[in-house]
Amino acid sequence: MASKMYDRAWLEDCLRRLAGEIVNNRTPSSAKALIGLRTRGAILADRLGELIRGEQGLELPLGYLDATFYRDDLGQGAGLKAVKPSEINFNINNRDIILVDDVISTGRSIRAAMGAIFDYGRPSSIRLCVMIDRGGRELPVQPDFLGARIEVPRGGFIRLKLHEIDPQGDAVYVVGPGEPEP
Amino acid sequence: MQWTRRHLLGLEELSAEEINFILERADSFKEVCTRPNKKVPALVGRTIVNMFFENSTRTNISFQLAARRLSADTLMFSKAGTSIAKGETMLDTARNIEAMGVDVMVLRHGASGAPWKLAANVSCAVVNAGDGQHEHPTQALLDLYTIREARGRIAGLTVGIVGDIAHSRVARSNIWGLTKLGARVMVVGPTTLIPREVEKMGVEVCHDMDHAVRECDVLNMLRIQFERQDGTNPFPSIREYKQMFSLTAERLARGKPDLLVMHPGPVNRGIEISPEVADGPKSLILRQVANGLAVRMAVLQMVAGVAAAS
Repeated sequence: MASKMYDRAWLEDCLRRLAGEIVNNRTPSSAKALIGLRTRGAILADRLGELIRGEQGLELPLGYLDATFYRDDLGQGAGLKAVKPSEINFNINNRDIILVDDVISTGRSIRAAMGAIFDYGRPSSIRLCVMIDRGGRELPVQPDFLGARIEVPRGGFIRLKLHEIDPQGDAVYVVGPGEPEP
Repeated sequence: MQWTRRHLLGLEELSAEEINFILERADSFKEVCTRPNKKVPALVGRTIVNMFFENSTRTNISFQLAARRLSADTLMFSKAGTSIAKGETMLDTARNIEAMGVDVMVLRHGASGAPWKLAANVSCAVVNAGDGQHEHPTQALLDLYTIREARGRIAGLTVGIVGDIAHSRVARSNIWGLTKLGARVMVVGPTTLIPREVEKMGVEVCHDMDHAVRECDVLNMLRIQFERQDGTNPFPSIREYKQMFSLTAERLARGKPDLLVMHPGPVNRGIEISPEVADGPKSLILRQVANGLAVRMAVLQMVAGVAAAS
């Protein structure tokens, strides 16, 4: 059985802390923006945006990115699952982009996302915010804002569930090798 | 779902779910086409060849541009000035091109069924860009996409396909696609241009253009294909055809206020459609062309993806 590592309360505390860190982080320009990586990173970016608005009174531009067409694993059948259009309706030039995703492992999807962002303009910086770092990096990409680090055995994975789209509600599961999806 | 087909040959063999999957993916590529940088690296290092054994402007250019916006390398091959003129068969030509390491072949051919024959004999992906009088799947997909974009849905709409149904692969692919997605389809034209037993495809036949104009939400005006009529006259004179079936501003005014007009091009101005209608506010003709690019990017990206994985 997949084991539940964190629940809703943890996720809420974690997002509040990350929202504070993002606002207080010194970036090259003073104009920050959030871009969430579809699917769950986009929902997390929504929540972070709301927390930053509610608790800090700061309205950050918010965008959503689907980096499917920038992936490097076409030959492994990537890019054949459903996609959604990216929505970045603000000028990203000279902005500090906070890229938001749920889980980081190899770093390849972040690389793809950075490639996609540069096709919208030239940001002044890109920072990375992820909820869970599960290890297994294949590229030199590290989060600047991190919820928690969970080591997962080879062949296992992390599932972050969000109440907006998942029947399980807010939760983080560790799924061991051969174990079924939560 | 996940896309699993290595070829896009016709809409007859696709499920409604697969058709919707392509249309949804085209939404993403449409967004790509609105950016300052309209190119994505999805097919970098892949090669797509357009094999056109029949004339084409729009489809040929649209496929080439779609391939380039996916970062693929493109080759263009047409009948004139090649070994086809020396009598080489399509399959021999295709196998030779495949031996050079091509990933996708986009085929237009005058013989119905040619893309199926090609697909059975090569290991790369094959996309049908129009085969004889049989199917033209990407044209129908872009028509579906344009209707869905303009009206927000397809199910429940009444779509009239007007004119030369008998010779039209666009009509056939549209009928498959529209009926699968739940539209009511009316084929409109003189008896000589409506194939016998077309009702078996799930459409209504109508010989009265004014009735069709009143009933329909969308009218897709087909080109009279003089080049496919081999000397036989399906109607007494162009003047009579115009009188009975041409979509004029006067006729259009008697339709629903939100009636939309489409045409796959090339337009015979003043025959099946009057210039003021083709260029008027209800015309979606140029939007069809723009959407064609996004739809073809979606198709090429998916079939190339399956070919690369297999």
